[in-house]
Amino acid sequence: MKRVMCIYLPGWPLQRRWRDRPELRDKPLAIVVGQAASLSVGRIAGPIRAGWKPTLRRGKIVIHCSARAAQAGVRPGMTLAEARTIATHLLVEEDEPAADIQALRQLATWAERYSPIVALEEGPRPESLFLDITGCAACFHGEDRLGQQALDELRAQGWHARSAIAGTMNAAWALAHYQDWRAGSVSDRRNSDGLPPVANAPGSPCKSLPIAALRLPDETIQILADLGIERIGQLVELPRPSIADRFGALVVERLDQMFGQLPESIVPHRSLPDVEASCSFEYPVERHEAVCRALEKLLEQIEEMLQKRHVGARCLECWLYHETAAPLRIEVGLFRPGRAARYLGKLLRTRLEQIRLEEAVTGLRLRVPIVETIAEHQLDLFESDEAPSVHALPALIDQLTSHLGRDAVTFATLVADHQPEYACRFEPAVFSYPFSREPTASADGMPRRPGIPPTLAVGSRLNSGGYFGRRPLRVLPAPAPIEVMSVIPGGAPLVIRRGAEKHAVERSWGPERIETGWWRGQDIQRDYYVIETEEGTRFWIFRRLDDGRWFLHGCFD
Amino acid sequence: MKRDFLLRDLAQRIHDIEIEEHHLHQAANPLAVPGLEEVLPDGQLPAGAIVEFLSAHEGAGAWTLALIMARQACGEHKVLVVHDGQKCFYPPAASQLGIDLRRAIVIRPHRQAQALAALVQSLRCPAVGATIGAFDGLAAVPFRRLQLAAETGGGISFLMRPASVLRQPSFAAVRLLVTPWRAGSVSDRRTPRSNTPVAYGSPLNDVRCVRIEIVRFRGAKAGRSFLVEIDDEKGDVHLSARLAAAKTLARSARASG
Repeated sequence: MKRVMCIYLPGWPLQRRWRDRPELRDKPLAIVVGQAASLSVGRIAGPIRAGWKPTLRRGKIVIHCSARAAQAGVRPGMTLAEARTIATHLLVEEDEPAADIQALRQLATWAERYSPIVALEEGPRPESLFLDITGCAACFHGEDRLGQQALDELRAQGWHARSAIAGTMNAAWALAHYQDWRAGSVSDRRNSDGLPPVANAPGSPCKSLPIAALRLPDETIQILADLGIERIGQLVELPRPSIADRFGALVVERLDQMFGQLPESIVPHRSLPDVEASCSFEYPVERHEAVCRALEKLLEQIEEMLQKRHVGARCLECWLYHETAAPLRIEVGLFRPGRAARYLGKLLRTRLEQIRLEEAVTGLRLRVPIVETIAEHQLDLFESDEAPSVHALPALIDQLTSHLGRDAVTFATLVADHQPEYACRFEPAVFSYPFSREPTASADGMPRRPGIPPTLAVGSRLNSGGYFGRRPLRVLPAPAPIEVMSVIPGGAPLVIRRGAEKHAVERSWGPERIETGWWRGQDIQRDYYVIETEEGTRFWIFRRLDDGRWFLHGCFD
Repeated sequence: MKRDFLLRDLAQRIHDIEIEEHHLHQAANPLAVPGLEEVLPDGQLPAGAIVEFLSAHEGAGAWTLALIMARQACGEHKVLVVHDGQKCFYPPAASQLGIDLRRAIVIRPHRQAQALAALVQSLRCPAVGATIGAFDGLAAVPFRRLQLAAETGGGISFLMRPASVLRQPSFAAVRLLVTPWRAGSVSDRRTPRSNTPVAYGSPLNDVRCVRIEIVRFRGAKAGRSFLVEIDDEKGDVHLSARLAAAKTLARSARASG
């Protein structure tokens, strides 16, 4: 079970200044920002900035103030002019977010003694660190001791910190910010006899926290307060569908994040070095087999590196160096992250076979620019129907992509556009949607498609009463001009002629007028007809309203 | 006389072998085409079969029939692979027919030779339930390769081919000749020819009629033809109303003795 520790350093910009200039500790100090910058600060929720309305004030705004300044009546959210009126000896410092982040990064590096994965809180002005302590607690004789040791060491360095340990980042953040911190390090296991906490369990300490711990907008918190909902526990007991309907989807999302219903990942603050391997030949090599053998060895090194990091490659770059010619770059994309040297080698060889080397190769370099976590699957004891789809499909897509090229193997995505040419998009199957970053990837391994309007959700049928009218299965890449005979100009077609072919029209449906595309620089005005010829075939034709010319656009094959 | 007997004997033995082969294969999903299901020995198409759609005209309805059958063959777990060498396949219409585009890979190769290799590769994959593609010229060797690939993977391959290849040898388990059937050629013609176009959404006019002739059906009798109606709006295929009415009459006549 995942365990996350959050270390919260309240008023981090003040603390940083106190460390750098200890003489400021006992003075009334305020940190201010300009009005534009203050808008971004307002997103960070926290007890120190509760009730602040940044958009209503003009001039510079106080975002942090020391205890001495607070005693004089200065509060975060005040304008600088107001604060100076109240506290005449107020020391004012400009906000320095870059320096604050840099200092916090240094602290994150120090915190790596507790966990190899340490991240900074997201946002423009982070004040917290997240440590993935899964499996680390045993080295410190338990979570409580780990938390307490971290706090003691931080205090010894002069930092004022609070810490909390929970099963999710959001729960740890909320406990660190809002739980009674006088008891020292807080853990959501404290009252559960050492057993792992159950998400959303009745005794979860998160339920006693105020609604603000969910990091919701002030307006939502106010609406909930007006209804008498002040604690997370009260919110959780409401019917889930009604929460989204009444207070917005963000509330449900925050609850899910807190109780572990939505996946989350801690992105380490220190980026790992690139996964790469290279070699150079003693003399230039021309033989394809020799290059492949060297690649196999490099791939084995790459596999080992990826295995150590528990990740797989989504993309593999191969650089071939020559004596005089420019280096040649070959790229292999993967539908799903993979790391097996044999598999990657097979894909790479397919690409190499399609390339003619201009010159002998002097060196090779393999690099993995995109890595992703590989989801481990439990093997089934008995064969299931879904098994082939899960395991064989990514291999097929990878092989086809290596063989045909990235743009030739696609998934179609419907687009809410009235112009038929733009009503769908063919997206390359590889690289189009990272699996690990796709929280709604289905259990059978097929991705949910991003970017599809909800009304056009794939899998649902689109009928003639829906977004599109009736559409043919075969549409020409470019409409072909045809000649049409009608009884009256601009009337329904009676006879169509395309080159030497002539068809008498038996029946026709329409017109379906499409007027769109002015924002693309082409004002499209067309009257579409479905026609059935005397032979019984059906075509999709249109009349361009600008000039009255007719075009064949598709056939109902 | 001896020669006739020998030929008949050989034909019978070939027929028996084919029937045996047919039963060896695992049965696939029903075809969703009522007339065809009745012809099949067990109402289903064997897994790993190649179905050839031959049509003389574009717009005959072969692609629609193939997609509806492919939808059935893929079921809920398998993937459809569309080989779109001509870059004419239009996914919004496929979605209207009930194709789940999440489970449809569209391959748009730059060269026809690549298309054939990709088709073989797709057919070998057990995750693929059906493939669809237009392949005009297919020599015997690549055709046989396709057949073996389909048998390995267990998916069904729908090949769209021109009627001009009717006389050429084929490795397809099923060969169907699809011809559009104009509404006017049926006695119960619904809409008289008129210059006034019909508004969209008139359900009676939306159904189109297609004549399917069974050229070859391994393990079953060939030569039969029937009319089906394609409902583009619902993505359904059903026997022509006229044909169904005639069948009902015949059945009641038989029942009355």
